[in-house]
Amino acid sequence: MASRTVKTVDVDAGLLAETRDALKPSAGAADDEVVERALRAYLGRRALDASQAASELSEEDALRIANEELHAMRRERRSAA
Amino acid sequence: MTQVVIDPGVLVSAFISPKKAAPALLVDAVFDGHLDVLACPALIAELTDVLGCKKFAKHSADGRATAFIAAFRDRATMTPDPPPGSVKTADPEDDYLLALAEKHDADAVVSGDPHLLDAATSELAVLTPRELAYHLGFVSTRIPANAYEIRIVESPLAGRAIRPYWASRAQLPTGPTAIGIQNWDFFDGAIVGVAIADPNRLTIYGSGVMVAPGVVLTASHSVNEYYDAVRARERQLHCIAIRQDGRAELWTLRRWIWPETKSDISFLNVELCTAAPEGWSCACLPISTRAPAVGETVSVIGFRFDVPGARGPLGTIGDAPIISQGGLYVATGQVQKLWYPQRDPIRISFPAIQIGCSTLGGMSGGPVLDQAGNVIGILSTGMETLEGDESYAAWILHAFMFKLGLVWPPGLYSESATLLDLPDTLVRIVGRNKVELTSDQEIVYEYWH
Repeated sequence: MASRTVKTVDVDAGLLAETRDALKPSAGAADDEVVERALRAYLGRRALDASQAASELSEEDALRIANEELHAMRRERRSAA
Repeated sequence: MTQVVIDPGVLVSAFISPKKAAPALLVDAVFDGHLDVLACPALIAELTDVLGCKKFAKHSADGRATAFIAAFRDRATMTPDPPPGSVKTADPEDDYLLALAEKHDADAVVSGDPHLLDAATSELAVLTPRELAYHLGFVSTRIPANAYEIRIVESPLAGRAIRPYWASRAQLPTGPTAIGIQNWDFFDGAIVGVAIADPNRLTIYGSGVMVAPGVVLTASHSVNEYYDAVRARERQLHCIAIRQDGRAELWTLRRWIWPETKSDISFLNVELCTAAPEGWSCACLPISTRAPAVGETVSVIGFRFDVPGARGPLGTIGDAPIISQGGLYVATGQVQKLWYPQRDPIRISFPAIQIGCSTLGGMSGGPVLDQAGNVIGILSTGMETLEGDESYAAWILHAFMFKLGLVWPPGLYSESATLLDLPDTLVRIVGRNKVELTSDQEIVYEYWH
């Protein structure tokens, strides 16, 4: 589990409510969980954008290669078992 | 809101494909809250394992894969791994995705895996990423950029002279891994997709090469399980060719010559059943009897098509159904060994060319071309070894043994003819004088290369 650090930040209440709404399903989540999810969403989207920007594949090739690697991983998993 | 289960293969493809690709559009929709996605620990574990493999290191570096997976997991409706469901696929390791969708009554499973696409039922839809993107309005059309229309006509060549022409040598990309080539009509129809049709759909299982008008060489194993059904007329075998003027040609089987000797080469005698414009001629590739030398570079070419799935046509062009989508792939490699009379008694029990390159399912039956553009083999199989990828092609020499029994075009061929009996005007054989067939149907070959 990732280590946790206690930080105190001031967050605009309206912005936090909007974020909570945008990150459904997060009803009932604590404020710190909402903030963490917002940060993960930002970082995840940025990572996706960076990865896609580096792509030189067609849609068909990307799908084919992904499926081939998924099945290769399963074969390896079976062998290891 | 639409709720779906997304195959980890689609999620991986979203991560490695350009932003406008359908899988990427779907993941964008998930992140934007416009598409509800179900996930479970087994799915996240597979996604993590695949994105962690070396092949995707360029994309996954600097914690990108971890960040992507964490964000996706947050956005997904996470549930426990499902118990086995009622719908099974040909690959049991895919079944949990169907079970997950079934248990939570999801609207669809999204996958590019033929096993899953074929498992669709009336209760559970399995869609390709592009199909779901189309349904959700993220893409405006399902018609691919390269779409070719097929219209059946009766005897389009009746009363006309039928002549071959020799398709020019293509300038192909090089590399030991099979890659798609955009100009897949480059061979002007000399390389064909080999398809089996039932009343509901047409599925392309392999490739073939036209070597004389109506004479296609292919790999037996790619369609042999349908031999009895085709003979009983329960199924039909077709070849599909793309011409440089944008037409798709459909050829239908008239006779299937499957040798009794050990070989992976079949001859398909096929008849054109699509319109032939004025001046039509049959694109063919020449054959060479030359024994390839160890170390020489050869190209392996073949089609790979998507299986349309249980839902029927992929869409329409006008009023014509889209029956399949695919592309032409090429790999190049060095000849590593010429096996004669066989490599082994089980898997490759025929004269074979061992080539150092990887090939894809669907390319089987496609030609192996030497640097002059002559057919020297028919792709049979690929293997992964500790030394690297290897592909094996049936050496073309074996093809000279068969009596072809050709019945189409009528009057053009003798039914008892072998390839060597056909005149130069119908089949071009480089080094024809190096091969003789004895009265006992044995080959006498003067080795040359």
